Amino acid sequence: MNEPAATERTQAANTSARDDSAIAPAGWLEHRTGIRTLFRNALYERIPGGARWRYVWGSTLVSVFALQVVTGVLLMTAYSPSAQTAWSSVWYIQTQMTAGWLIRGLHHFGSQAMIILLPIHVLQVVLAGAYRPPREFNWWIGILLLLIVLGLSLTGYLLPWDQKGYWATKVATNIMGLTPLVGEHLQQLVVGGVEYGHATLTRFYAMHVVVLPGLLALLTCFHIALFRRHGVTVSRRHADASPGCFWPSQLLRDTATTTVVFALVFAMTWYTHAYLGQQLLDAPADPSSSDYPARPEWYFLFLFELLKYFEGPTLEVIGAMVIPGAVFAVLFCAPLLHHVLGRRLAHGFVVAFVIGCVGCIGWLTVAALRADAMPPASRVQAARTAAGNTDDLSADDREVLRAYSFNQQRQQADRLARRAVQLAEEKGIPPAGPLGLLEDDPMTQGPRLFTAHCATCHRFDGHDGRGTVPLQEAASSDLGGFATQQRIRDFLRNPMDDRFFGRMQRDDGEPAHTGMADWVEENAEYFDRELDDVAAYLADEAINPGRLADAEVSLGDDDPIRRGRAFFLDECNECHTYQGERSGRGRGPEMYGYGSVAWIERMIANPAADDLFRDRGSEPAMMPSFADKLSERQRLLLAEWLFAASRDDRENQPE
Amino acid sequence: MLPQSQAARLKAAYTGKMRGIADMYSTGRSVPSSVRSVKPKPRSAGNIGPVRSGLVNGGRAVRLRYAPIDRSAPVLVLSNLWCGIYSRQAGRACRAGACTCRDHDLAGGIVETVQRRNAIKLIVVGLNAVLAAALLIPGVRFLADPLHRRRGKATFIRVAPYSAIPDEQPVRVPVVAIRQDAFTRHPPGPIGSVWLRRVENGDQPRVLALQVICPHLGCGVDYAATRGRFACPCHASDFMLDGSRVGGPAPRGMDELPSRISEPDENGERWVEVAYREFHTGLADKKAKA
Repeated sequence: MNEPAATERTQAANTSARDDSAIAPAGWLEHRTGIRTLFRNALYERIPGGARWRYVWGSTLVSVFALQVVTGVLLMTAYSPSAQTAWSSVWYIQTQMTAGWLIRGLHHFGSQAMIILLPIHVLQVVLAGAYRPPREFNWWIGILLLLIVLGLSLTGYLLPWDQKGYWATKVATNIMGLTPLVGEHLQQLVVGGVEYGHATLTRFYAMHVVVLPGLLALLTCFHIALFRRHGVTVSRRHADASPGCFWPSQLLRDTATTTVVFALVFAMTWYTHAYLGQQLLDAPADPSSSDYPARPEWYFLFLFELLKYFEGPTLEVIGAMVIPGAVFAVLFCAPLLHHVLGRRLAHGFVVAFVIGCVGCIGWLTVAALRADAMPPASRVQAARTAAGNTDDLSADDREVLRAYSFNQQRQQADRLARRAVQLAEEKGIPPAGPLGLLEDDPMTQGPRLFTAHCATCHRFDGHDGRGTVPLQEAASSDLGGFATQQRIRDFLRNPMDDRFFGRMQRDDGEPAHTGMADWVEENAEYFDRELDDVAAYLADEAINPGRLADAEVSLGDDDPIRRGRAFFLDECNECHTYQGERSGRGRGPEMYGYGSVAWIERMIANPAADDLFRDRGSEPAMMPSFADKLSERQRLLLAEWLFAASRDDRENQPE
Repeated sequence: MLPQSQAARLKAAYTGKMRGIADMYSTGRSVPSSVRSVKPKPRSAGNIGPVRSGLVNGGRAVRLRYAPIDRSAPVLVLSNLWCGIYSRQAGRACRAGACTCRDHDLAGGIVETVQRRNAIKLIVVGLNAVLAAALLIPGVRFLADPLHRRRGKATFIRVAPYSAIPDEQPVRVPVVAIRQDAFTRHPPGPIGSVWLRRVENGDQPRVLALQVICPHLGCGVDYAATRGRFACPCHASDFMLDGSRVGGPAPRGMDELPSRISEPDENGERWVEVAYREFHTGLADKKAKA
């Protein structure tokens, strides 16, 4: 027995004696739980070839998963999974609860961080050759972990029950429904019935918060245990370097990387919340909406783009299942390929394959983003002109128009999302859910109704009410700023302007509503200030119907509104009735409450009413009655919107 | 020769005041013979990996006393981190005297010191503490959100027409109001009830409004017409018609709510209006809930 060995034994004895006595509580605990040994085993892991930056990715992924678990559990304390309450509870977390935006933002961007870190980890493993024997099982577990993370992203996306998650999930589950033989049943199982609703949410919720994270945690334990069993895969370059230790050398690198990733996640959360003012929440899911521009989250865009190359139900199965399935099959076989190809060739193939896959995914993602980018205005104009002239559009032009309309719809959706959040704040969310807020909101429904029913003839500030400029020329007036002082003033100077009656033609080709133009031609030059006064008066009439008919109004005699009222009674009242009375013999529309919500509603319901434009005489009403086409509620929504949108801060209006 | 400051630091490392086992191990490259002669100990629970206990001097382990980090600790931490990251891989000596991350022995060999490892440990623990705090603080604030929730200020709510209240007996009427349940705003509905009873007040009409919630444990208090008293069905607390306690476990009388009679409305009806509140139960004092 040589001397050093004896020294060691003595020292070991000393050490164990110290363990039990010197630090009594720790020794007591160690004796009963083995906790110190556990920590030592965990921390004093020997790293052949020394600690390296390249080994950090697995640890970083574990850290981000821990972040997801912590923020996820916090969110669970406030989230309510049902079609009526999901959006509302997320809105409540995001906008009302202390630090809610932060917790939810961290969860949101943490998931994206995982998606970004995963391919880096896979690439590192593949480049190091760590998938090869004897580490096959760890590679296979890793592939399962990858799939679980993707599953978590997919299921989590639906939970806010907003338009984005709803439509993306609908598309994803419809693709699932294409699976040969079992597709329909599979889809019904996942959706929890034939309709998307409560059961879909509860199923996705259970998957997202229990099943998938549980599996992920379990498999991660196996993954790390197997990793510990085989150790890091030391590159040939570092084979001779002295060994390092996990604590603290490698842990320093792991922690530093984790800190950077967390800092980025925090920064993104702060940037979107405080700087961009985004709520990361689309409008509430509306199964009836027909024009929502559905897109998957950015990390699934490559699948979306891939599907574009496979049209039709049979081919779609290839794009959505066969190709991804084949990729995973090859990945699964990667550790076995050396039996077939030989060690060097197999490694080369696997490296090339994985890099190729990542490259393709990147390329497809960029292609998808580029395809959806807003085309330059000049291209849009050219394509729209071409569309107006020919039936046979070039593929390029069609693509430009598609991208243009996608962006228009996206802007609409963003506006709707902001409006929903605003309404929830102002009015409170009714027990029936947030959708009712938007259904009763003139600012949401008005533009839709205008586009559907009015924009065939009318315009609103040149567009169809929702920001799109129709290709056809307007056949009637532009109602932007209806019954505001500026518009009435312009109208009284030139009623036959294109914005007013200029575009209207009777069936016989003659211009319509010339009576007003005749009066202007004869009289306008004598009245200038008076026309401004009457514009001020009528603009006031829209807001306060009948105010000036009441003598008690506290307006000075010199007030333009008062003067306008006097002029109205002197001149306009000869033709235009006021509360059914007029002083002359002409026939013009009733001016009591002109431009008010009630007046506009009556006008929409029946423009040919006797006190409006009438159905007979020299100037019959050009506008059809909408009493049958629109319910009273719809007419009121439309009228309220036209009234409010004409007076709102005009800069907030769509282009 | 070593620069003076370097030698001084080495000396400080070996003769400092704090006790402990010097955690020294070689980086394996230009290791002086004295260090290389150490025979690695076998792996065991107490000694795993490359960590060695004790400075080896001539093949014998000795205990050391040393000063881990001197007064300029922040500077050392930074310079140590710098050297640790950029110089160690290359096995270069750090710039003379810039740090204590490794000391140079007389043969020019590099020995990683306690100071460097402690600095790294400090950084790792510190960073992890920062990360944990960054998550923990908002997390706790998020969980504590309910503490910030308050009921709206009690406003007078119309509960019943004055004419509907009988002369003798008290009557129980629901209080109808809008209720906000976290993210849901419920339309007006019952949020509670009050007992109303006419009381003498000269010519002026007056009504006594009592919260139906028993001040004992929160059951709804009934009216026992035969005895002419309020009685709680749960634990048999008895109250007089004016709400004062007669018997039973209730710590105080029934809680009176502020009430008033409105001016006649367009139909000539006068309304009883009550400022509805709830109070903590089980206390001798009447204390409104937040």
